[in-house]
Amino acid sequence: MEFIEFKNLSKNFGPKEALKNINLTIEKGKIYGLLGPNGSGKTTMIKIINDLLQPTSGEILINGREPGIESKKIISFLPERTYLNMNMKVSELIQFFKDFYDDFDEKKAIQLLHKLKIKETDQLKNMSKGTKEKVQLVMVMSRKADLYILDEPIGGVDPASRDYILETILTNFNEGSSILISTHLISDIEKILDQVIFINQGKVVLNEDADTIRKKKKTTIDKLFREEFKC
Amino acid sequence: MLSKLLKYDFKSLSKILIPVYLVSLLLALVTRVINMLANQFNIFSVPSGFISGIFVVVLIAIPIATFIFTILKFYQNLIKDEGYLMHTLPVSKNSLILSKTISSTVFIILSFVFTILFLFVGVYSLWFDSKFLSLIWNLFKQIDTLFIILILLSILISVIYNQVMIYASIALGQKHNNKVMYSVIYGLVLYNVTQILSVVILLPVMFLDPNYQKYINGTSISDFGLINGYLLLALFLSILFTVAYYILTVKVLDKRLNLE
Repeated sequence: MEFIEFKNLSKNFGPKEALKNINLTIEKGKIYGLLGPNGSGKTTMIKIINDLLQPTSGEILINGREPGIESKKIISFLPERTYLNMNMKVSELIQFFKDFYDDFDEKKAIQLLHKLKIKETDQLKNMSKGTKEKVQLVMVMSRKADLYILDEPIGGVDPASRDYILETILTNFNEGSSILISTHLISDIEKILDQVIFINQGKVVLNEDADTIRKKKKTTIDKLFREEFKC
Repeated sequence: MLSKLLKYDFKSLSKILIPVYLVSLLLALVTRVINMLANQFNIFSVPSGFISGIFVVVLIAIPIATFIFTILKFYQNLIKDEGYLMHTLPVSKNSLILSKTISSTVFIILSFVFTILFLFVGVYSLWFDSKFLSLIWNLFKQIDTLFIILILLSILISVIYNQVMIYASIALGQKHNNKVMYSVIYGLVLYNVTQILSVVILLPVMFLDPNYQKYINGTSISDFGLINGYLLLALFLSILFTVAYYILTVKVLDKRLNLE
């Protein structure tokens, strides 16, 4: 079932073309890897899905409609930066998510935070960058969303925590939901991907089933990426 | 959803502004004590002058600081990193902006009230007393009631108008790469557009109004009816501009959001 559709979508920043005529479909129930080098347009695509940027031409449809209040109810988004109000305590942040998202599971969030040794009374401003990232990820994954969009979810996290976080992502998303992960740390996540999208210079250069890549091309996604984007 | 947004906007403003007001209250109390001591002992006259100076500056700064802080919060919360959360909440842009406008207006009005209150706490019966107040009160009683109501309404509308005009400048400025610089430029443009339009609308009305001609000739100087008429017109214009800039802010942040 078509969930998200990019139709001839382009995005310019002044004279620079960030996305060029993208046609892409995201279906329900799959884990997508959005992979590409720095500046390839990954984050721009993600921001357009989340209504933070508007396309210059073409359109994007989520369940047949433009991004808006309805799409925000069903998409759980983790940006590549810290978006938290630093004057909050963890407990206040939990309350905030509970207030605005009907699908937020407070118990699950607290349980995940405790496993990461983060207390409700902790102040966000006193946390390290990596810990803030973990808190954000827990908030995002504690929603029962139809689509989780994770932009560089493990970028600032130490390798030891990465496995736990990937496990958190995998065990906490709904059956029938989709995940779109953008990253260049491919080897860490490639085992969980169902579908791989390579993007370069604003264009989709590959959109293929992960197993097909592994079986037919007899290579790992990481190796394929290194070949495709060799400097 | 508006009530939930209001809850967080009030909380977030309170966290910084309430301590600022408490410190100002403390300064008012210290000013009072030192001034009272200075009346008794000469040795306190120098520190009392110093503290009184700071006190006056702080009193003037309270509303200004409150206004600047509410604008900074707007920028930080909707255009900077926190905007990634706020603009992906399932709430309308109208609710987002309305919540900011209401919470900021309440705090700015509060800051006026606190300024007057702290003035009383600090120097009532030292710099002015009940005689002075009754003098003011007697002056007030001679002024037309409608005129006072219109002046108070004008203050309220101008508080809202100034905020919303800056919101609109920020909304237009965020479309560009250099968001701060363009916000300032749009701010200057909108300010001048408003001024010019107001003059263009008000001047012909004044020239065509026979009562106004009499007024400037000095034949009916205390005609509150006339002044109130113009105040009402100015008020109407301010409301019109406020609504226009508000709608502009909502539309731009809805259709042209650019969180790069």
